[in-house]
Amino acid sequence: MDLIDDAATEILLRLPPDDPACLVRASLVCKAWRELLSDPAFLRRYRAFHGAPPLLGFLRNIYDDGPCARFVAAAASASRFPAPAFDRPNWWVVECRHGRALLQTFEQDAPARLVVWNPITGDQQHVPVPGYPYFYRAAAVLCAADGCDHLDCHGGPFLVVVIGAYDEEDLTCASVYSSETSAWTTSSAIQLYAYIEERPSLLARDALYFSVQQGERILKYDFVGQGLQVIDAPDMFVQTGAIVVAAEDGGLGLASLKDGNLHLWSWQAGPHGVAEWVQGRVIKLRMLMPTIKPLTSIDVIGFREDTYTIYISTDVGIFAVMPKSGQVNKVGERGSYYAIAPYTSFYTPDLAKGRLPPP
Amino acid sequence: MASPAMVTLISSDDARFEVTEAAATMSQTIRHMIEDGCTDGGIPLPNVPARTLAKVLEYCNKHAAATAAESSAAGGAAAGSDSGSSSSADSAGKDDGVDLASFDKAFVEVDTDTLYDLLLAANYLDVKTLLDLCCQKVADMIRGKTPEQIRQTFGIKNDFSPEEEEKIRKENQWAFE
Repeated sequence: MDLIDDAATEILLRLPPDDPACLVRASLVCKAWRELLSDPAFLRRYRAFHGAPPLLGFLRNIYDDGPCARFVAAAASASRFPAPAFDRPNWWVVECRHGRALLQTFEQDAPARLVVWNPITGDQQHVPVPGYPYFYRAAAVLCAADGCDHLDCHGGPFLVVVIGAYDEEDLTCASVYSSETSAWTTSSAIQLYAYIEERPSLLARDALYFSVQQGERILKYDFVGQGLQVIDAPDMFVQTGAIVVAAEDGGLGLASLKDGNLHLWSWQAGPHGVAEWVQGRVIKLRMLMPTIKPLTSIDVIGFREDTYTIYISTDVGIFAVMPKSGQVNKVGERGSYYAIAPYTSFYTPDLAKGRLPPP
Repeated sequence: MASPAMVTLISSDDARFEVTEAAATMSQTIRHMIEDGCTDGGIPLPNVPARTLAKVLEYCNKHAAATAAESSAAGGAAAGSDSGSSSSADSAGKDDGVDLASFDKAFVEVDTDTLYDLLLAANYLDVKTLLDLCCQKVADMIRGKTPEQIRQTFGIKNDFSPEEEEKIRKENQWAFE
């Protein structure tokens, strides 16, 4: 049997991205396959074919003797890619996006820094925190490449957005750092008498959203108008608390748990152009996950923007819930979680090349 | 109801197959030949032997019939939506989907030679969904196999020198553990 090139391309294109080791093993079959599997054009096509990158793992914070940031490989990808052994005292996870992780340092005798880390190559870029006289409250990282599909932009230009307070009256503003200019620009300020949750932000249609005060309110940073705005959550969340998640239409959403049911809402343009909250699906989690014991706690701990996945922590592990299909997969072991920052990326040979030893 | 238009296909070993035009035109290659009017006396397919063509046509007949059933079910549902019969039409459509998925799964449960002949025929005849199905099956067979097992399964010759092979293994030790 003689595998013609055309068929080999179509076959290798269908190797599963959540099992990166099988790409490497296939590249050792014969020279023609090796050539194909190291061809940048083929690998770009491979990523485009699969669209959404796999969940390789997640970053989480632990508070033991002090703050500590840790990388945990996802259940499905464990041992299928060389997960970075990352366990960093005095570092704190902020979030992950577009192949990068954003962390904050709390090192003694050193000013606070933000670090943009590529868990696949090990590359780290340090960003000085802008000089707010008071404190900085939240941050986000995102790719800055024009028209990017975010399938392989890990090494390109990026933006870091920092929300900070510069006045005792609690005037809050946003500063944006560009890796291309190494400079900060700052927006006009608003008053925000509330704390921002230490959870990853949501990037949806030219805006970043941060959960404020248990999700009772949401802080929006608009990249187009470069301004901040506060949005109130629907009344039902005042008691239960909610987190900002990606809605199925790609816009702003909220998720909250009540009596074991996951309630989803989305922020949509109303008939007169005024945006309003619209109640969406109610997902009966205990019916989807019968292994969860009754009366044990369930928490919403994270989400994915590109696939509208919501991560739930339970007494039997972390589960990924896809609201649209009702599909549920176990992605991690049980533990005490407040928030996780899911790290998603392809692990194709070109992206993995140049990998440095773990920090 | 008029009987469906039929076409004759001729395999490389001169076997003749009578099939509906709907099934035959799942192949883009055949569709173009029909559009160009090259159907007199049958359509010759010099790259596909009878054994493989029979199997490909089994796939095309099943899928063409399912497509026809689906569109008539959709028409029926639209017409009957006021009388409340849409739910039954809806569930019938769903059953077809499940049925077709299990048909596809069973269809590629064949030995590797047959699978490979099907893949080549699907490629030549340009039956996109069948090509997808065959390629995905081969990819699923590659997953979880060592390079030696992959070569053995698909009869691929190892053209690396022992030194080259050792070097690649060393660089990617994690993938072979």
